[in-house]
Amino acid sequence: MNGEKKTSLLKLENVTKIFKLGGLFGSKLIAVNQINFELKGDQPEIVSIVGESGSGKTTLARMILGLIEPTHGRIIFKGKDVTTIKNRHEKLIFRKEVQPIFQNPFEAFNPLKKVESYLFETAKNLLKGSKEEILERVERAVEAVGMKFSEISGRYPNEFSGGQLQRLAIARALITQPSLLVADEPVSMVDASLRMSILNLFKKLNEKMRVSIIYITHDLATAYYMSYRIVIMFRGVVIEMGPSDLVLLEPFHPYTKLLLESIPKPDPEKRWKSKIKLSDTEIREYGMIGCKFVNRCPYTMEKCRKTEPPLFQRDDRFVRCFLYE
Amino acid sequence: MKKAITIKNLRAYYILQNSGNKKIVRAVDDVSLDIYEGEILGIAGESGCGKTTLLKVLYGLLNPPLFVKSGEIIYHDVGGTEVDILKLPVSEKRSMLYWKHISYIPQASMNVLNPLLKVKKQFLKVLKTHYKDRKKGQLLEMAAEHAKNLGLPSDILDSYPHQLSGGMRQRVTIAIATLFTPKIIFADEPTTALDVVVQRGVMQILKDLQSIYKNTIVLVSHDIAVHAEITDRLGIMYAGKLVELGPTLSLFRSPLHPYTRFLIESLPQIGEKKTKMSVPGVPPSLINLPSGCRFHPRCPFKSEICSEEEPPFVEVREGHFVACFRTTKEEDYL
Repeated sequence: MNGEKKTSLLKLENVTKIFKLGGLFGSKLIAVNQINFELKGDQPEIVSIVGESGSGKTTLARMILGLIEPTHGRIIFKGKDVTTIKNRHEKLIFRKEVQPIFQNPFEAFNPLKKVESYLFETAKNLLKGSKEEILERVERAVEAVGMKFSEISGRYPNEFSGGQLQRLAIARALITQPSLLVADEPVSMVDASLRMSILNLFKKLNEKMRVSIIYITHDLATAYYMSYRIVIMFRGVVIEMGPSDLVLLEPFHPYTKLLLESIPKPDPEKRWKSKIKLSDTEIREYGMIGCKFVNRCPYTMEKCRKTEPPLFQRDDRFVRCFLYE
Repeated sequence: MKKAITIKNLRAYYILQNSGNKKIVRAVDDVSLDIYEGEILGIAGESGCGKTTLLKVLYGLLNPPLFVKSGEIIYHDVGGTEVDILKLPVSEKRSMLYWKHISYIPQASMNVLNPLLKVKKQFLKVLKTHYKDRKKGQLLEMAAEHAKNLGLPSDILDSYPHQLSGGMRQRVTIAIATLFTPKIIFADEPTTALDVVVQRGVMQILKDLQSIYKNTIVLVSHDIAVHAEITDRLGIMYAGKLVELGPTLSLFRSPLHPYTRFLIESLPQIGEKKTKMSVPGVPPSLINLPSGCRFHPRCPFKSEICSEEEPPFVEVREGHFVACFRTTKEEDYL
């Protein structure tokens, strides 16, 4: 310990995104509301961000990737505020460091072009070097995902399965040797029989190539499998975060509990006994003043309706619920 | 148990002709199956295994390039008579079977609602087709009653589709599809692309339906956990073939086909950090199928015979069938 605080790899400070709806006097939608969150710089880790559709998880990912600008707050990558970068050169450096992996590998590849062209485009855009050097980088990236360049070159996307294409999309992301991968639902379009091999690949890259990974998903079971830390989002806010063993095995927040109870278990002897309350008011939940979960929460108190609870800390984890005040 | 549908040696192919180049996609290849009255039968498999095609053919939706090459689909007891849906002209399918006897909930059906009409109007439109002589008020009452039975919120009839979430729209389409309480419901991936909580709501509605009206449900889903939750029997399809079929519990407790075993064992579970393995290799193309057992290139237990002959579909335990040389042989030894 030299008293100096280590710089974190990624730090989000009050990151907020507000979308304007309608015309001049149109209403606003707070898609992501004051997210604070940090990825350590010394130890590459996998963090899962879990949420249902409309939780703001994809908006958050797009902000981290620099694809959209946050309305408020700062995103600090390796000590530098990346939301204010205007300089082309600095932007390029940031793009090399932080790479996306998208949900649908069939859309990522141009069906009319050979698969390797997608890889070479990234390499040419982001790397400087001779033809040989670029080829070598591409070959190494393809090998890192367990394929051989000689086997894929000259072939078109329709000759590959979804799982193979997703592997190549990951290879593309690795060309620049990034320190952070942001993977938004990377396996939801991949066949069930191949899904685990992609997730195992991410784990291997994290260990062997020391890449940090933000794994964004709606699937709690794979989130548990992938990461030691988990962030649960609901209607734009973080509702619970901490070590996945705590958050998923002993959940605090009533919403986390509901999520966990709603996962069908692959065991016909553990079927649901009870019924859940159906809500048609999901869209209205964004605009609520207090806790966004009040209408479905079994423990609603008076103050839950009036003020939004802050994140309370309990040991290693944070929970946004007055029950844990 | 009484049989509702019997499928005999069904072969349904897509025939694609591309500038003289003929390609045959063998989406359903020699599938035989009995579906019983009052059961929830699940069909699981990966994308491109033929499960949706099977459902389409069951419903008699035969639009080119989809053709039935051979086989029969017998509906027992359509008003007391047996009917082969593949031999019926469209008009008779409509008058005899659709809506009242069988109903089909296609994939992504939450997007079929008319955005310009209130949910109420869409219920009425469907009701009017069969109850031409009844008054509007009477029909509205029927709609409200049906919605209530299925646990839908009461204000739903007065909403426009855009005011509802995807999951609620899905539940509305299920309610509309079952307005005439059909004896048999075909549901294609009804819970896919929905959030877990909403998905649970949709499964709840299907269960409620089944317990009220005692109908038969054929549920297609790639999600094996959904099948564990809701189905009575489960069939596993691989590359156009039914490779395993049995009571859901038996299938999960002791899967017989290596493919089924992989599918179940590879599912991650909360609280378990053990490394899970995917099935090796990749699914075959339905245009260019491997010889013998279609799973053999990916199977860690393959022997010589697997690449030469197709394994027969045999009953190994009571009601539990499998097409695998290894399992059937093992059972011989016991």
